[in-house]
Amino acid sequence: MFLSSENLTRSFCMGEQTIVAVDHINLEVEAGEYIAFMGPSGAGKSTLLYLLGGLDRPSQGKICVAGKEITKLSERELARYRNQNVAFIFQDFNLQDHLNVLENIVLPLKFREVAKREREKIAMSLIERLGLSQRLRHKPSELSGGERQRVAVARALCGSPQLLLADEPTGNLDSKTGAEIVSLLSDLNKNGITILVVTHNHSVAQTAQKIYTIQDGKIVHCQLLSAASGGKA
Amino acid sequence: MLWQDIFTDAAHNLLRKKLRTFLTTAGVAIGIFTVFLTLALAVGIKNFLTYQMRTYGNTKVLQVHLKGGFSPERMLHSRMGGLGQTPKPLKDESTRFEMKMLDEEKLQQIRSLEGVKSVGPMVFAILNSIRLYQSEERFDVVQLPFIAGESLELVAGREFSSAAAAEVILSYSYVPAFGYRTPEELLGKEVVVSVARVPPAQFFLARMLKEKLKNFRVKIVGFVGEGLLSTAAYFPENFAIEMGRFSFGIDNLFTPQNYGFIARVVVNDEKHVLQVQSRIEELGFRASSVLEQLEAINKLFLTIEGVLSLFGVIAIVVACLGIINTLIMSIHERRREIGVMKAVGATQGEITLLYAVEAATIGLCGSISGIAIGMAVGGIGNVVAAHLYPGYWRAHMLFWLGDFTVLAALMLFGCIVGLLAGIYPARKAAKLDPIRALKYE
Repeated sequence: MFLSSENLTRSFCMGEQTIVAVDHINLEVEAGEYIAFMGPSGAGKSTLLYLLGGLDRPSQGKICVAGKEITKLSERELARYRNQNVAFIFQDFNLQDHLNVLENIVLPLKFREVAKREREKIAMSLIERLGLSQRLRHKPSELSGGERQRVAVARALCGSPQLLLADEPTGNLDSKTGAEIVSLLSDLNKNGITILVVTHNHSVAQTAQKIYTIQDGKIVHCQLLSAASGGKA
Repeated sequence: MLWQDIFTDAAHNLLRKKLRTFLTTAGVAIGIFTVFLTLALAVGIKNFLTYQMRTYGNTKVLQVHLKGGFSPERMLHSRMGGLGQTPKPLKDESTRFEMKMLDEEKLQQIRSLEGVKSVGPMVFAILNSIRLYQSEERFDVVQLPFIAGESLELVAGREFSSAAAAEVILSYSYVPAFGYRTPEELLGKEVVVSVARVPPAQFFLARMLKEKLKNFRVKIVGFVGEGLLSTAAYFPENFAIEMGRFSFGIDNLFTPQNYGFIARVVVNDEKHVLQVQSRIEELGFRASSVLEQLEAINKLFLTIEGVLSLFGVIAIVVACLGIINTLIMSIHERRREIGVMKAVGATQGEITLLYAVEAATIGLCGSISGIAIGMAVGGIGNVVAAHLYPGYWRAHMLFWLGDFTVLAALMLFGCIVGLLAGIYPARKAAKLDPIRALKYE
């Protein structure tokens, strides 16, 4: 088992009210799986994703990734876990506006203490693969939505993660560009990367191998899809 | 994160808001400038006074007199009208300025003290005037004791050829006074020194009396630096004795039978001066030393420096608030950025370090600018002071402009101040919740 969660719970206090965003979720993910989480807004999909990625800590329960219980890691160890094992793709790209394309892509390697020349070499191969060669020195504000998301994907891949977590990756893109990104994710999954994607979009979810439906912080349904259905958004 | 990346990113981040960074740095620069300039002024004046004190008297020398025989402070109070102090009842029948003479028997007690190198009379004469030979233009002059073997700091010429030579070493101020441009032009020329006869009992009325004068023709052999002692003249000891005997009208003055009213005690080592001074006082004498006065000056200036530094410290505290404010604003603006950094694996330590280096860079740049402006202003101040008061400030710095160690320490200080100011905002940035930060609009 590559990733598992046991009784995973995340609750927030809002004044006197306690909101349970993730409610005792037990999850098992094999290495190389491609899973989509669907559900209404506020169901707890993104919260679950952030917990699995080590960006947030659960109120209860545990998460194991590659045999290591990440819920027991210190703040520093968790940061290292994120840097070396996980990559995020966000709906609104979350690129650094003051950095150019190349500088944005190499960001995870900076925190891995990779020398400038080496990290730029790694980034250049991704830049070519994602068709960003002409945009190398451009700032995010000078790019289209699709280009920005491709930069975000390149940044995610730059650190060669085992786990790719995408939170509404096509949410801010038109359908054509969205399809390009979905196709890209499928290709990455075929290359062995485990992908968990949160989406409202059925056609995006259809590219995954499993769809979990989440409601009120609980997994209420699991749908297995045939591998042949992947690749189309 | 590599150090190279931390420094590059910190510089890059600071340059993103140039005006804000400039204004914050200017705040630090003003603080450091204030500290630098006030300290430069205090140290400059202290150095000047210390130099003058050392010129006035050798730091290894003590002036010793009998209690009630010669009290400079009492005489000063009396002559200056009491200097604001309540009149004190006199303990004996002596006149206020009675002078008690020292003899060999009395000095023998001092001579036997440990650390004392030599004991002898403080030779001096009352000089009336000095003029160049064959010139009628007369100038004020005062004789200062010359101690063989305890060299004067000469700016031109040499020391005396013998203890009895008819030679003089003058203050540099006589060069322009005599109408010359360089001291070398005056070396070897003769001057006439008029010595006034003033019986000891009338010593403090000397200038009011119709003086009986005797002229001594002496050759100029050297010059000492310019300063407060601008009318100083030094003579070889035996020659000075001859002038002194005429001055006081006492033939056996400065002999073991009559050493005069002040003895000169030379101590082996400057470190033991104050110790020897207290032992001499225990024997019932009064003793004073340049070192004691220097200590008093040092204490006074330590207080002045402390008070002046307070203004600088206030300015630096204000600058620190500026740094904190700048960084906190920057954190608010860069919330999302911090969230992304955390998402891609930045540790709290790395984010703290990044902000701390930004703060330290502001501190360093501010201190370099503050010191540079301080040196420029101090340099201009020195030039103006030397122009307005050449006698005091041509050879000395009104503003002490420091040496490399002090400047480096001040830069380090600015850097540390910036760093300390940056700690709170840096920790605040590091502890941001990455999810909230990523969702921040």
